[in-house]
Amino acid sequence: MSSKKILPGREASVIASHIGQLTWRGIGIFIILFSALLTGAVLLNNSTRFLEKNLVLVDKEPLFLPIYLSGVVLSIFIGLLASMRVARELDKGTLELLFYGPVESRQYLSGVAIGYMGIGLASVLVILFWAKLSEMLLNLAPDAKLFGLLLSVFLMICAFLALSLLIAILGGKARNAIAYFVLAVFLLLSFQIGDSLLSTLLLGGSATATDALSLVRKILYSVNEVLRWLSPFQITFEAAQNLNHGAITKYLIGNILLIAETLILMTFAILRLAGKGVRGER
Amino acid sequence: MKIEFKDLTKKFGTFTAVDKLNLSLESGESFGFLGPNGAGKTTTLLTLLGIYQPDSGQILIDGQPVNAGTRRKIGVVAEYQTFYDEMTAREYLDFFGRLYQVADAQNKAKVLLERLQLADWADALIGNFSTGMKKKLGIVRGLIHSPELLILDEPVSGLDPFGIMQVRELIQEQHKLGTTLIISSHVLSEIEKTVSRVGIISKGKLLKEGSIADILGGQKTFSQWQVQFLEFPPNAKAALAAADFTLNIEEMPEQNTYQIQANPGSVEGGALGRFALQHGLITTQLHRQDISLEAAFIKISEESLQNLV
Repeated sequence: MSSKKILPGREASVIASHIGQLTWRGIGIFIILFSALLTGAVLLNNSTRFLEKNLVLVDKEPLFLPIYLSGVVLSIFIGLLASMRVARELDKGTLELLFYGPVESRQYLSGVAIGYMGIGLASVLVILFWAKLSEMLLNLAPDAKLFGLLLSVFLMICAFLALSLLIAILGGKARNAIAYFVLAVFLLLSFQIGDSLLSTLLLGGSATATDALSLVRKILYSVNEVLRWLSPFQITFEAAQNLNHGAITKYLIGNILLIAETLILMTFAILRLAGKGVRGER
Repeated sequence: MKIEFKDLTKKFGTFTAVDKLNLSLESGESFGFLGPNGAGKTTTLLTLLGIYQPDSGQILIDGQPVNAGTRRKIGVVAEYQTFYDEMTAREYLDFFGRLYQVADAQNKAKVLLERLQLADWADALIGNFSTGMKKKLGIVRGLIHSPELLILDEPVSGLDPFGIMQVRELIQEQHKLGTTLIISSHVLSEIEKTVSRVGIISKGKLLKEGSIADILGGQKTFSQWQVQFLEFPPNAKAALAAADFTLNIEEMPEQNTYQIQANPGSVEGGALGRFALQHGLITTQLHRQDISLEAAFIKISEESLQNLV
């Protein structure tokens, strides 16, 4: 296969700039920037709190959790926007119009992914700006790990974006895509949060822990063991923790996993769209 | 651009939408697809565009199977067009110009928008366009890359008479420049004015194809007049039916109208008005439609259905 057939080509870059243009014009960009700035503000507040309580010396990286959480929020927003964009194009018929011409599944989905990755990168840069401001205003020592963490957050956005595009293609219609999307977010986050909460409960009150609670804890733990290799949120969380603890190799493996997941999910989405076509039947 | 449909068959489950269709279009030809709803016209065209994959048979464009390269040379004006309502017409055409890698897309868009009286709306949001304006914009989009093949599905639906004339002229100009045309329409009189060859398709089968003269051979043609009166005159039917020019007459009392079928050229509007006046009737509106291809189409379809039964 020639490189021309593998690379998405010029059409993808035209679609990417088209996505950027439409998102910039629509409400989406305001939601993204609002969430990025809001998280930045939370981050700043968090740093202040740490400083006031003199916890900076205790916690190696006080910016870690706020940045990670902002990444999760942004992933969900950007993923939802991308998923809705594709599902709406399928629903409305504008995608079919593109496919009448030189555009193919590979080029279209790559273009959409590149467009939203650009928006994700811009959002990460907003967080970076707030983080640096936070460091400067509160006289925190600048840390090179911040860039590593933001890289993981960006890769998490990319991986979740690829998952969102696959959800849109599988859903076919905007209504289905929303339902699948909410289900995916619920599954990915609920096990992760549930596991953490129950873990705290058991640790805090082991004397009163029941067998049933232990069973739930075991189930959640088992699911989390699977999710830690699949969920972009979990992979990023662990990669960031490894970075925080200086385990650079494990951190890099986490990032490679995110890249691999992005590519695999994108490939599935492209093959699925090419297979079933824009009318759901070819 | 030469197009060949070879034994093309497309099924949806057990339903056969296109059944062993064989058709060949020479480069620069203008071809009209006729057929009732659900006949298989759109499925055939969507298979030509690669939206559907044939179950058997194939479509060759200049000897090659359909691919992104061949699709780049095709312009499409679909019946139900969808747009990015949040874009302006200029941005929309620029987007498609870049997609098709048109070097002078902005100039071409400007010229085409002026031709179709849309230049003043170039910077307006498409969401604010009327149905007719959207139709025209779709036609501009279909022509922006100077396609070698232009596929038009109901190209004049939603247009006012002036818009129909503008679009018809534009299509005819494109054809003169060597563009191959495929038009699918229910407005048969429109097809007659634009194409040189037609194919009648029903239940997925190509029933008949040939030049319009071939299709019309042996078919009776007539003019259909709609005569509206100030008040509905129930007693006028006998007088109108007895007239030399009348072949058939139908009453439409809700609209104060009689529908008269007459031999072509046997009567003109003025003469019909005078005839009515002589019988004490005041006409408020006269409208003529020449029925020729329609009659042939209906007759061929009916014969075909009878054969199938």
